[in-house]
Amino acid sequence: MAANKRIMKELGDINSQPPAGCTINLPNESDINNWEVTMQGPPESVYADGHFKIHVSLPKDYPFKPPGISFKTKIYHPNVSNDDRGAMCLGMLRPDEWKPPNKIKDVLALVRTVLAAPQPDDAVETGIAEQFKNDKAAFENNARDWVERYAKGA
Amino acid sequence: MIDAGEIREEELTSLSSIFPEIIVQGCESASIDLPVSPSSPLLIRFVPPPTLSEPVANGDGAAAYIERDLHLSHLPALKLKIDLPDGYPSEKPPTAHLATDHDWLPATKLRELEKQIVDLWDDYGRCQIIFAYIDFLQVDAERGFDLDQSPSGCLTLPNTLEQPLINFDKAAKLAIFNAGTYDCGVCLERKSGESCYQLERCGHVFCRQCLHDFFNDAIKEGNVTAVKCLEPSCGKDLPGPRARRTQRPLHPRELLAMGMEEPTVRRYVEMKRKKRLESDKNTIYCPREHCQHPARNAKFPPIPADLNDYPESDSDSESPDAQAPNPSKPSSDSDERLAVCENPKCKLAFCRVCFKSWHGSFERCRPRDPNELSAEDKASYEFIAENTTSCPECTSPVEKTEGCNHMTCVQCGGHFCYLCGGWVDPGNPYRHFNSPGTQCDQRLFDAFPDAGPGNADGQDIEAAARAEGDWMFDDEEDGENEMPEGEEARLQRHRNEPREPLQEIQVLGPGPQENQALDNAPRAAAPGREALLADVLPQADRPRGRGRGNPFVPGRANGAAAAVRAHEDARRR
Repeated sequence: MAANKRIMKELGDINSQPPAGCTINLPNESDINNWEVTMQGPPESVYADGHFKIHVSLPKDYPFKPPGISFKTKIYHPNVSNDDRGAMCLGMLRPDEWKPPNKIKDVLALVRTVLAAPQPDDAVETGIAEQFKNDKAAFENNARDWVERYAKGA
Repeated sequence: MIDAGEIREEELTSLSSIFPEIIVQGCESASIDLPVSPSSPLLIRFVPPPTLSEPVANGDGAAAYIERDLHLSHLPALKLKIDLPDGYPSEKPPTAHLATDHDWLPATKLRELEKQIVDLWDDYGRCQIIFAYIDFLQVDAERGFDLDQSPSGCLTLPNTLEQPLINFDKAAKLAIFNAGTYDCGVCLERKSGESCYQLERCGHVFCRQCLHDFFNDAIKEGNVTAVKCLEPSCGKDLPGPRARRTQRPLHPRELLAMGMEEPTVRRYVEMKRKKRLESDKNTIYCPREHCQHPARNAKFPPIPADLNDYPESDSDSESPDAQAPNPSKPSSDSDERLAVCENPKCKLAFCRVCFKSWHGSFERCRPRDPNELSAEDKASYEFIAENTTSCPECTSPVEKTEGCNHMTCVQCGGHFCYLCGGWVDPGNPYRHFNSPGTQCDQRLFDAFPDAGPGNADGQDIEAAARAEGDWMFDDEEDGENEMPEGEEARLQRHRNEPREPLQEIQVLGPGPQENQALDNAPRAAAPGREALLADVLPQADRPRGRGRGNPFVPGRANGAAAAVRAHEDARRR
């Protein structure tokens, strides 16, 4: 199947050249549609010390449909939903913006960029976005606090 | 000494190893096709044949003289045949014969090039010259034979050659493309040019399989906006907010060219059209409940049978259609009201204002759904329905300000009765009001004149009658139902006219003063007129105000015509 072939290719590429700050695992070796990525917070960001587990799910019709990104580690961030889904949906991840030549490593690079520079105007958590815009210090405190609490284990 | 024949043979043998495609015949001649692919595309101007281009001189002939400039990268090969005479190479020069398919290279140029072989042979000291000559031709071809150095800066050819040369150019490009290999960004595999497709507008290359899979999926799901180049960066290199818009949807021709199936491509085009029709607020739909197809619309022409002919200017970026007719405003041009259902099985001709089947250009109508009207429009329609009678000839609503019930239409000059809206014989208009047994008998003046200041002033009946008569008189003279200035001469003439109508009114209908009084008095206090009206119109509920002057509001046009005209006037203003 074309999709599987492409995923295998991407997996091979990403394992030989992992994107910055990311390690990739397949929780279930026989299921190549579900990846587990551990991403280090971008240096010089409030998330720098954290390790975030991100679940990347590749739909059956990947790469025609975008992969789903969900943070398994709680994170205080305007663009990540503060629920058990930990979803992120912006830029190329939106179904109408997604283009098949985008690769998972591009997606991971985007996620990392958004961690380094939140996009409050495109937020899922509007409350956090407001705080980010109006009270940066409080936002950074909260974010660091959450990193301490949730992203330091493992 | 070596035999000249051997020298020739040796030369041809070595040429054959340099140019495997060369065809050698004995040791007398050789021929070879030299591809012409100038390093910078050659500018060619295609003009109509001379006979057609003659009428350029006359006034509007500029449009008749259509020329097209094209840059072509590949042109039909230069066919070279070289004859080697017996004395070659030491004594006689070789002779070259040049030709091109479609004769695209001018004969003068060919002769000039042919002559070069002799010059070269001389310059090189009369030795074996064929390789040098072929090399010379190739270099010259690379430079486009310096045709752009000509006075016109381009090669001018008859336009009959346009299509063959374009086709040749395309085929050559395709052959080069097919010979290459490309990385498909979707399946991430390297594929041969043959199994890939290059998008026309942006030049991005993907493998056909991935394009098929993606576009088939998108079309199946109805996501027609996704049918464009897949490259993420495509169309985004341009600055500004319009960047995303520059990525235009693919033409169905391209989908067919990449090998997609016609029904799928047709579905794509149909869905696109449907989306655009539905998003256009001016689109109207067939009033037949079982049909509901949109009406034919010049802005969205039907899909051609051959999808390759689909219009080029199709894009997602909707232009603001400021000049498009607004269906909520009826227009003076009746043809704008005519709509025809585009369903080939229905083809209902209907009116886009009243949504009834087509009633012809002269019928006035009003929108079917009163909720579509603004309060102001609604008031206009209602006023017109209550206060006017439509001319039976042109359906223009006519409002009587004063005078008798014999009306002359301001629009078409038609004669009619203000009471019943019926046609009146212009030769003898009063017979209509003097025919016992009819509803309008003896009622020439049977109406409430407007409670204008003149009447309120309490003029005597004679003055009022004079005024009315004068108006009537004026009406007949000029065909205008306006209240004229009270000119003494006219009044005088009027007094000399037969007075029967005035007499009748005095006997049978209430005069203006009485009417004035009636307006203020309870209805029951107006026995004469009320009784009369009751005879004709048994309904208890008669229109009030001036509308009472017209109890016979015709059912058909019902004054809506004036509403239509009121809109038109408002629009003109």
